[in-house]
Amino acid sequence: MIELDNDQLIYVYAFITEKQASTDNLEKITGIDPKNNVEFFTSEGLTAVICKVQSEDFAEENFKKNVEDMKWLQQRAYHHHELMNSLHDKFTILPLKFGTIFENDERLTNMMNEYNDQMKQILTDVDGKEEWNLKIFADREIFSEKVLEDNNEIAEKKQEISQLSKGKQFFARKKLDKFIEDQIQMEVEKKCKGIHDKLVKLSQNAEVKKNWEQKVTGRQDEMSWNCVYLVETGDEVDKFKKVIEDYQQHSDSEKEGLFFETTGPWPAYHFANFKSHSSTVLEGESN
Amino acid sequence: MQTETLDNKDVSLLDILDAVLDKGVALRGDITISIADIDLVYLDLRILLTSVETLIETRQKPSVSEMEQKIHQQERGF
Repeated sequence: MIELDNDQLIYVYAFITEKQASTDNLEKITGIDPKNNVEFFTSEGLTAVICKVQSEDFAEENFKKNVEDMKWLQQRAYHHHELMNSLHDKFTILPLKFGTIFENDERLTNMMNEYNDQMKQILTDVDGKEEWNLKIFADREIFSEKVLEDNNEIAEKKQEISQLSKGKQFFARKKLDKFIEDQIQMEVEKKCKGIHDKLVKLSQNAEVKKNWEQKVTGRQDEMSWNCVYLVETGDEVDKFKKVIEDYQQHSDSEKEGLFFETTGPWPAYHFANFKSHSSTVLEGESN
Repeated sequence: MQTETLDNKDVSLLDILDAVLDKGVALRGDITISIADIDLVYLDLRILLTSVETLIETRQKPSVSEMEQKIHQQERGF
């Protein structure tokens, strides 16, 4: 039982097996609500890692408002992330996304019992694995030079355009620009896909994510690949990183215009989706 | 190549949000109150945009109309 005051809710960070939970008696860890500590809540072999929170912070309407406040969001999201990492160090965890709230312990129990098998299966699946994020940035200018050099069609088209009347030239040039843009895009994608295919072989699972816009990254080069990979901890991670390092070196020495950025190890945030039946995304399904 | 380990504070807030918010929670429907009850794609975008705003503030603040235009575009899925 979780003793809740009238205006309290339950924030859930993650699930672990009861067996693992029993090896640890959580020392005093401050929760997402600084007035409360992190606790365990167990039902049918599963243990939820929880914290009691105030509805003024996390009730639906209030929560929606609060996440718009960057400072509020930043503090809580960091806390969620840091606590999750410390759990990930100690246990095999099924991490939940930020802001997963239950109204009372009955609801939480029901959910834990209903999805019991699936959740235990995921805990088995992610055991001994970690998530790595790879972002690839491409320098469009370098790619553009290469495309202009290698592609004979472009020179031919330019030649054709110079024969046209002035009015027609304008539109023909626009069309050619678009063609060149597409060729660059194709080149970049081909590169990224080739690297991805190699990394997928070292991974248990992968999920392609949306690229961030330049306004978000604040970089000159363009984010052209953003993907998370579920990799076995240890040797496989070393191999995984080595592959990326080699690509970076190759790109540097050949001036290919690629920049690789990895972050990790993350808890398996993207591979703990126990309600989705379409979680196999190895084929690079975009969201 | 740049590798950020997670105990390194340099992992950006955006990276964290991209991990902990993207596509939302798996529990949709079972929770009475949750981030899953709202349109998550929309929420994610808004949060990203908010952070963009903060990022840009230190460089060059975009005009309100620019931000609005961007938000409208995002909403329409461009």
